[in-house]
Amino acid sequence: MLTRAVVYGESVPAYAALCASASELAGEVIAVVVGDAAAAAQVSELGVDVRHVPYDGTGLLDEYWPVVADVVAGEDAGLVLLSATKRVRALAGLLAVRLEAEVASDPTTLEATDNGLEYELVRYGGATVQKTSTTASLVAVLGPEFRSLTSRGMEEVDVESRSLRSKADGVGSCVSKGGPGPVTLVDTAVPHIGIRLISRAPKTEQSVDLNAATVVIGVGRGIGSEENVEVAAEVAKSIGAELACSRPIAEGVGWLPKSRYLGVSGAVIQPDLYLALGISGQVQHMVGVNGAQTIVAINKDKGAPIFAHCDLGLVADLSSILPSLADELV
Amino acid sequence: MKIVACYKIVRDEADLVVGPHRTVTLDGCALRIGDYDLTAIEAGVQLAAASGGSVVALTAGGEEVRDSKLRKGVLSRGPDMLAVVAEESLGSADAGTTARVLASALGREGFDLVVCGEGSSDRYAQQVGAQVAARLGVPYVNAVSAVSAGSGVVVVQRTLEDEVETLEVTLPAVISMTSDAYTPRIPSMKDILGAGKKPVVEWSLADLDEAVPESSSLRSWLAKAAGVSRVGPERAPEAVPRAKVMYEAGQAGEFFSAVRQLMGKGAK
Repeated sequence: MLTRAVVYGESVPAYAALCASASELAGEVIAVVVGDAAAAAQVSELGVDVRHVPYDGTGLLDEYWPVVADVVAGEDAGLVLLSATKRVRALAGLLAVRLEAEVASDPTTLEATDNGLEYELVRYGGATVQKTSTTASLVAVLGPEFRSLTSRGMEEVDVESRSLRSKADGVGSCVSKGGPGPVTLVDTAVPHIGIRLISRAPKTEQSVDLNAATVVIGVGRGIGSEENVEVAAEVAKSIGAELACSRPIAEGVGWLPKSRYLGVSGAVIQPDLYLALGISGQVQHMVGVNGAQTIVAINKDKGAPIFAHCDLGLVADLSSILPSLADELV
Repeated sequence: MKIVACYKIVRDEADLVVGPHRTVTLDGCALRIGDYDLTAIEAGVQLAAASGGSVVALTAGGEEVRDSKLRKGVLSRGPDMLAVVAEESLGSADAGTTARVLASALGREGFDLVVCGEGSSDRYAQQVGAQVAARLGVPYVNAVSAVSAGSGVVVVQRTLEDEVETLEVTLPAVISMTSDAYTPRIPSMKDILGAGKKPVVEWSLADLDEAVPESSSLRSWLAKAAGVSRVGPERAPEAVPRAKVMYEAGQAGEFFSAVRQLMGKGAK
């Protein structure tokens, strides 16, 4: 168990998950919050000490990274947990150099050992995994593939001593002292970092939260045509599922937006049910869906790797299955 | 504008053989240029063409960076020259070590803009660009989906989860591209033949440490870092246990009633 861990995220739910994980690994958890007073107060409700860096939401958030790095360096923490967003990966690099720390990007596990930390990373998009143990400070960027000790149900972890309380909704809070933690204002001038924000615009591509769906339908090259993708979209709509795809569908033929592809450098999901249509099941894709409770696959190729990784498999041509698929599932 | 595009030579995991007890052998896997790095090279080459600059392709690694076919593969995609840091111990370098070595090479070589890929195809830590910039104390922007040159600056489009920022970045700077920002070119026969004539420089760590005080040398940094972490063997991931119940085309009815049951729905 470490003495102290610092967490940084970009949303209150992100802090809840980070604080829960941090409290499994360190006695004291400090949250650095860059945002308004309300955000700082919400994070303090999790029962952690908050270092609040005021930010009105209009400027370039990256300008605050040197300030965050100063605050983190001042805490002398052996562990920094960050929630994986694109912007935060830049912060991780700055912190690593500033603290001379190791970085664990998207570890699947992270545990405190007798003399440091041990974590497992995936390589080659999930084709291999590798454990590293380190006595150095660690900056860990936690993505959806991270399985905390609690979520893995490890019984040797003494939940009481960690003072971790799990709410019924599954979002852990870490009330270590009872009631909200103190908020300390960090009011420092933001340095010039050589980057000027000219403009910002919402992404025109419709944003989608594949993680929120309990049922996800994934289409791969075996779907055959863009028309068939539309049929799959109708099926998804009729059963309240989200539509997702393999990388070639989004980046190769462009039949679906990039926000909908699963796997390495795409989304990683844990739905109750993943229905794979014409998905061959390459490791790069499977790493995105291995967290599904149940995987059901339809593919015309009996030798497709997906059939070694599914619970129910149907060997069939999708063009004959698709027309009645909605009826079969509604 | 002097552009440096960074790349990594990686194993092709398509050749990966999984043995008993989750053991894997990577030695037999072919070598290739990292997928995302080809995007970085293409971005650098297009930017140089538009702004009248030059492109150096830069890598650091072990014996794999000496592969002459891959060197030609990189140069045939447009860079003017190749700079290689080759040292046996770098064959298994993590992102932090790679960044430390590249930063040293870049300090020596000089640059206006460093272009990195989104992440390496093997480790995908997405850290090298960020840490190179932090080590050199220059601006860093990741998730760059488009880049154009201005006077003493580049203007980049940065595609985040739900918004797109347009940023003006003062040079010298480091950027990392999104995986799909630019489509890597397929080199022509002429490109491939011309690649063999382009200059290549190779440095060892000792070369990079030349005229650097021992205390801040790469070798003393690497020696210090070496004892800090222990890396276990690479293994195949633990298979998620699945039922693997199979149905043939003629059994679609049974298949769908099983699926319906899973979804908590009654039979048709």
